[in-house]
Amino acid sequence: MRSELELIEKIERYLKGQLSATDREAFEEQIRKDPSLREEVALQQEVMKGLERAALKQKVQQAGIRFRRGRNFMKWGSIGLGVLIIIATVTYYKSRTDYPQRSYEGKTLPATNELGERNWADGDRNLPAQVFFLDAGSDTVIGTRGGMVLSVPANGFLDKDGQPVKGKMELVVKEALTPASIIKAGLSSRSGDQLLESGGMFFVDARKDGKTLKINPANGIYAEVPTDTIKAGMQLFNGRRMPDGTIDWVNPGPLEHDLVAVDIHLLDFYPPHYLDSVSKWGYDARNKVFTDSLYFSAAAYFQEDFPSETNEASLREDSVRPNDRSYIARLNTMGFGKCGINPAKIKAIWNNSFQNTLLSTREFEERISLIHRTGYNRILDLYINNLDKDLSSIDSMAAELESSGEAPGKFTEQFRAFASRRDGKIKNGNKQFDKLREYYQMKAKAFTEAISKTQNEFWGKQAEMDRSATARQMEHKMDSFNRINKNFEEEFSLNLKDAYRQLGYDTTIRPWSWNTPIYSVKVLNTGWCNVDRYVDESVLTRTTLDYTDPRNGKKAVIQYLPVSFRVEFSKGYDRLYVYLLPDKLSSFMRLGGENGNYSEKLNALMKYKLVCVGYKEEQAFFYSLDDVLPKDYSPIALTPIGKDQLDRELNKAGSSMQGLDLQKENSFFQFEIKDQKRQDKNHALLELKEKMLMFIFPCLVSRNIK
Amino acid sequence: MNDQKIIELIRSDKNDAALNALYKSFPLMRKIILSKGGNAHDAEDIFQEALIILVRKIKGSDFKLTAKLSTYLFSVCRFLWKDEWKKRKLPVPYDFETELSEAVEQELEEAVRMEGQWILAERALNDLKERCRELLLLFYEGRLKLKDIAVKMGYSSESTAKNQKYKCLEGAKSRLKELKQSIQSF
Repeated sequence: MRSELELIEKIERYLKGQLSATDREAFEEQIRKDPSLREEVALQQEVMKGLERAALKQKVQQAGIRFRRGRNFMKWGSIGLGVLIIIATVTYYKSRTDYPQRSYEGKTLPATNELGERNWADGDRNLPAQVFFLDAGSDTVIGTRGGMVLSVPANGFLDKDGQPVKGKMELVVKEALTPASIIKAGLSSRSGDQLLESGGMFFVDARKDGKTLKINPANGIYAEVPTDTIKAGMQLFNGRRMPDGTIDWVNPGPLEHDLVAVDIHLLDFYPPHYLDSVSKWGYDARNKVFTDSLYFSAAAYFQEDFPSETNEASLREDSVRPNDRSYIARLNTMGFGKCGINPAKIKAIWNNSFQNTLLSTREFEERISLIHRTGYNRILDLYINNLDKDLSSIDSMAAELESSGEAPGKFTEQFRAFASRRDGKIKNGNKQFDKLREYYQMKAKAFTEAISKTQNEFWGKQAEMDRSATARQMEHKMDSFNRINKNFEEEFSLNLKDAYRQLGYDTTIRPWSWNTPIYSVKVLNTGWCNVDRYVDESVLTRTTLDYTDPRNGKKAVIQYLPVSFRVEFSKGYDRLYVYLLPDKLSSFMRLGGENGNYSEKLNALMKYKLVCVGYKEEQAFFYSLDDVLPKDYSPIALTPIGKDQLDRELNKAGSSMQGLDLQKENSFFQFEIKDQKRQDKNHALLELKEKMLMFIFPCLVSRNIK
Repeated sequence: MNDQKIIELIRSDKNDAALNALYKSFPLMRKIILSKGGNAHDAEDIFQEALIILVRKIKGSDFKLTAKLSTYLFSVCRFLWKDEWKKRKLPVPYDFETELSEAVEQELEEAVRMEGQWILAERALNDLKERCRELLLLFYEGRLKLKDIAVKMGYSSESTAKNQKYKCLEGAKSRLKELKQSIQSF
């Protein structure tokens, strides 16, 4: 086992108390002295806590699934709860007896009701009272056991003389919010002869020192009754106690449907189906940073003073390329204005500044989906510029605006349907409407400019990088070409010299070199040139030279012997390069091969070294061998190597020139790998942006379909 | 099922039956959380987190029952949503009166805070390869023997499984370290 793993084992035994007393003391001493060990121990302890938590969470989630599955279970659950509430309430109120002026006590009622009369209904007698003491002079919000929320403004109650009450007062609530508790309390849901569907019943009474108070009609108190679903047509009825103990419900009035603000970051302001599509395209739709940056990047298309590289041709093109921003900019300014919602506008509202406003509601989330479909920026502006109004009245304005446009009517009905829901506004919401309006206008513009600028800069920089990559590729090609020529020239002169030696020629005479300037002359006699040509051919084809001088019968033999290598797991590498480094040449030879099989012919006049370099992504692998012999080598296994280490190995692999050349080639490959990644990424990004355009520009989709 | 029985079950590691019983409080908590501006999703998250905290609290040696368990659960939920609402910059709703003593309330608030610390470690584990996570959970929480784990997960031998276990632990530690550093650097 590795030493790090051994340490982990030791820490584990320490944490579990499995070390002997002496070992433990020694280890604790070590911990005291060594802060890094201390950190390791703490980390491991935290991981163990995390494991406990993860296991427990699994169990809890499974319990949740079991709970949802059992429907009968659920019913029992809620009946059980009804009982629970009552038990809790009774024990609670019994334990608190320090308020002598309490008029209600559990199910015990005061002598007279809230109107000063002596009649009580069954519902009054059967439901326990929840008593809250509050300071009449300040705003108060209370929550009941059943989940009702009552908000009472300061000076919300008047005494019998019509004067606002001051000081401590008593607010009593009785509630029956579920069908089960309504039945148990003996309440009926009748209005005259009609049966009502009840969303919950409650009773409120306010007293000070036992005397009844009236609600201040100037303010009213405000009650929220919890419900899982909002049903249309719910109304508030007043209860009238009947002589037989029942309550008749009278004087129905419409409910105000106030909106509840939720965390704006939990809402989805993207175009409809955008997130689904992102995940369908294989990206992580839960990564908000990514989905945001992709979506907001399209704001660049809305930059109005877009440099006009527009020409008529681009307008006639059938498909839109993401780089063809002028096309879309043109569409937007050409009076289409309804082609798509500027993502910068969404960015401007989808943040903390608009928390606790009309926009941070589930109801607005439904609107935004429709607004995206209209693609009409002025409708979005309408909602943001009227944050002080009821949502439903903005819906009406939107319907109006939508029907009066150039291509009217498609979504008018849907805005009207929203308007008919009578959605109101947020109670106690953020009231800085003017500031928010200003913020929106300023930010939408600033974001458009900033995003457009970054986009331009990004793609400009990428183009620059493309150019320099091409230049480097050209340079590398030239280098390789020169290297091969130089090798050839050197090997040629080496062989020729040896051939001359074997033939007994004078080798002090310098033979022509094939790339020095020459005069072309007709040579009629065989001799020097003849040998040159044979050697030339032998080097070129890397075959053994076996030449007999016709004049003196002497022989010149230069042997080329085959060698072959096989690299193990060659398929696992993205790139694999095999080099031979001849000791008498100044540069290296790169071997061609496929499927990990490489072969070459070795010149018997030279000694060779073998170097293999492989890449898997950016991880490099390396192998080297001195004194290569002409034979079939058994499979070669490369080992992983760090980049600096690889440089050092390449450097010392051959002569100094060879080392430098190898390093240069290698650093080019490393660059190429990185650059390929960059290019692939850009390519994918462009494709993705192109796909995304149909979400941002609904009008383009309909055009394409047409 | 009465509360004493639930506590016995949790202390003898029979969490499933205990959680079934505790889950009966969910509809009420849900209603309350919905009325505070949360959605159904928040309600479930908060309630489940509260269950985790309560179960851990009960397992601790110093837990004494002074009120109904549902009251405890409710109190923990309240601390959780207060934190959550603060995070979201929503108005924190008016407090409820509770029958728990000041000291118990403080203890629960502390338990909520402590649990928050382990969330990071949990995330580190979630970032591990699924196989690693499973191995660690089986060994440390499932209390399976290495021999059995090796058979179940197809390791060639007990010692391979052991070695693998420590490697996974090492992975979790270094991920946790990264997470901590990334938080500090913000």
